[in-house]
Amino acid sequence: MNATAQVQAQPAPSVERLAYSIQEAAEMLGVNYFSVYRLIQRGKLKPCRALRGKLLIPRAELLRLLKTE
Amino acid sequence: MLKRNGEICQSEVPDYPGRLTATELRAYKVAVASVENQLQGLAEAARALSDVEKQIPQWKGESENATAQVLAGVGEENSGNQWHVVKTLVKTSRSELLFCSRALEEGREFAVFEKFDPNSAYAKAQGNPELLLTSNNASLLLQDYVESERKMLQLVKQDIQSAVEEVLAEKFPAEDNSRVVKAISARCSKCISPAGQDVRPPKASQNVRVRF
Repeated sequence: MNATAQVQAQPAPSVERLAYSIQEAAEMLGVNYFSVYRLIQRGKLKPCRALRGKLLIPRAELLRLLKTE
Repeated sequence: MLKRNGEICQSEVPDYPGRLTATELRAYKVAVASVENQLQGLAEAARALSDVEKQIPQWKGESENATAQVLAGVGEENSGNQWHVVKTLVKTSRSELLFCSRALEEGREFAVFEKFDPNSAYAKAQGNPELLLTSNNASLLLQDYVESERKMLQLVKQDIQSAVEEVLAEKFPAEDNSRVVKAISARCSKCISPAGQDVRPPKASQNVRVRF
């Protein structure tokens, strides 16, 4: 087996994203799209902003919210 | 005939007083298509909120009358100091906003709860339902609710505008897209305030000058 074949056989490393769109966050939380905006408005979820000001939800925030302990 | 960058400004779009050039119109159509679902959702949410707003006086009357009448045939009947559902304010596929009340020794207490899908990750982690607002005055509570929802819709509107700017910057980087953004922003404002007024219009727009 040559080197190229070995590289191809390895599974692609899963890249964890740092932030998600509102729609993606809603899907992950299992809530409505507008519920995510309500959580932001009430300060329960702290968003970050993309270059043009679009709201994004940091992965760490989602994990914090879903932490049951 | 107004021209901009050599192009005639002749294209009208909904809820925007200005006219766009052919290039701007092309960008407008691309941008609107990219946020079509959000625009539709915004319009539906605003419409539902307006319906709630119209019914506040009626609900206030119901909630301030005899206790038994308030809860008769509406929502869940529980005993003790449990909350009773008076009205469903908003219902979506994944959550409900509920106007509730409960009897206390010193009177009644009112609240707005958000009830999530019990199988959702959020509900499992954070508990369900979630208390949003509470007051001993039903009317004030509902007014606060409407105001809070309007602010939320403003946040959605800003986010749609940002998404539009992102799409336009990506697909039409060489163009001045400011009027396209304004046109879509005007469309969002119209969704939120069907009467054509923003939630808090700037003072300048309230000044009306009459000349004889």
